[in-house]
Amino acid sequence: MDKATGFAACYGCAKCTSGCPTAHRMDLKPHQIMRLLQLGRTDELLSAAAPWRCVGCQTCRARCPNAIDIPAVMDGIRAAAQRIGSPAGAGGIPLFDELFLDMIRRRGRVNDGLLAFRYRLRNGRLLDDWRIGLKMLKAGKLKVRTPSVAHIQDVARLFEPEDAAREAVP
Amino acid sequence: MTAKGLRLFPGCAADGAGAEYGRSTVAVLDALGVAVRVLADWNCCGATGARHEDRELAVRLSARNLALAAGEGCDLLVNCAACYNNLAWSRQYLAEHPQTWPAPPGAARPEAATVLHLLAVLTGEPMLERLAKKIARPLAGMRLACYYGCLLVRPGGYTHVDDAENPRRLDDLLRLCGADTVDWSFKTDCCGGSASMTDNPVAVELMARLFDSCLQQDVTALVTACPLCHVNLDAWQEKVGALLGREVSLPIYYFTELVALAMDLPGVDKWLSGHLTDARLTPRKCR
Repeated sequence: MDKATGFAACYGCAKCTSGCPTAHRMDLKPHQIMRLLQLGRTDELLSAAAPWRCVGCQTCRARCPNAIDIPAVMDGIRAAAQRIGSPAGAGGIPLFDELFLDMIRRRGRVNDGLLAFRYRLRNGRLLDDWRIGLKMLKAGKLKVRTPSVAHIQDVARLFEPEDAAREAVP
Repeated sequence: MTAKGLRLFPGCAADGAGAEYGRSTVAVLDALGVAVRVLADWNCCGATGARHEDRELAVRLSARNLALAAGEGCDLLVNCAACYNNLAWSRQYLAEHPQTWPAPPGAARPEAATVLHLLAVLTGEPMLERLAKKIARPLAGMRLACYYGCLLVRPGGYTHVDDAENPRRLDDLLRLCGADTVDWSFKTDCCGGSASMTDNPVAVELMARLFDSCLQQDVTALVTACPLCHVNLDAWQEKVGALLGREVSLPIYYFTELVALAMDLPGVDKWLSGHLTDARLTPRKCR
């Protein structure tokens, strides 16, 4: 885990957990996660569902007296859990992120309607909430085409930092 | 406000499902005499997806946009709270870790461009004075819940639009426009963000808390400064109503739509007709 998040400074005041809007759905609470990190008990963290329940609202970080970047800790645990397998508590989040980033890599921008459609197609829940999709279509909120970034190769390169570094140092 | 020129970063949402936000933003800036051009060849800021994957990828996606603006000697003006947060955070990160984005030959350093949120610009002293003179149709009869959400105000530090715990700028702006705004406890609580797609029951539950709180204040509408909050709050009211055991049908406005309305600018009716929850102006909503 990235030391830059500052988790070592946690003294367990649990302000993070108190203000967290999704703590009641977490198997490990944010302040417990900080403690397990300090103790090096990473196995328990990698199998936890809690990091996947984080909605990234930044309330914990704004209120932490030690300025720990708790949402970054959650992101870090998610990424590490994904590297070693398919985490149980992840739900549709890895698929959604994958489709999202794929769209950026290929077009440079995201077509929100198309992303929602692809996501529901891939997770087999195309008909979920179809009435909302229909309403959005009627309201003209779904664009058929999103123009790509003109210099799309510049965007694709951002996904490969080693390549970017080579470019900069010829 | 800034002495440099401004480039508008449209963002994917205000350019897509939140098109009314993009259009009303441009209309309000025009009417107030703020010259902005859209940032040429902008790319997605990475939203939350990039941060989940790799935080430095998120920084690099923002760095390209910042460098494009810096290359034109301009600062970036952003109306989406999520884009604003990503761009402002990335700028701070790049100042500390410039090697994250080794600038291609000829590119400007991204840190040279400041990141400004539209709400901060419109609530600066000179803009408020200009706006006060242009109020042609005060929003009398509107009783509004101003919703700031998360990414506009938190974590503080690099997000300096307003106070993180008790922001007031939206309230001040809409009061200047003649509306009444209410005190309510959930104005900085999360709407669920992208969880409405990936973990829908959680998002609906969070939204239900917001609606429950502001409906107790007998508001006529809710106002937001973020296209992601808007689409959530606008689209999921039926499910929220089912959870609360009552019918919920509350107009959700972008603050720029209401500022435009107060200035009596053309186009407002058209923007409002694009909302999913009926937001058209009726005697009840705007006397």
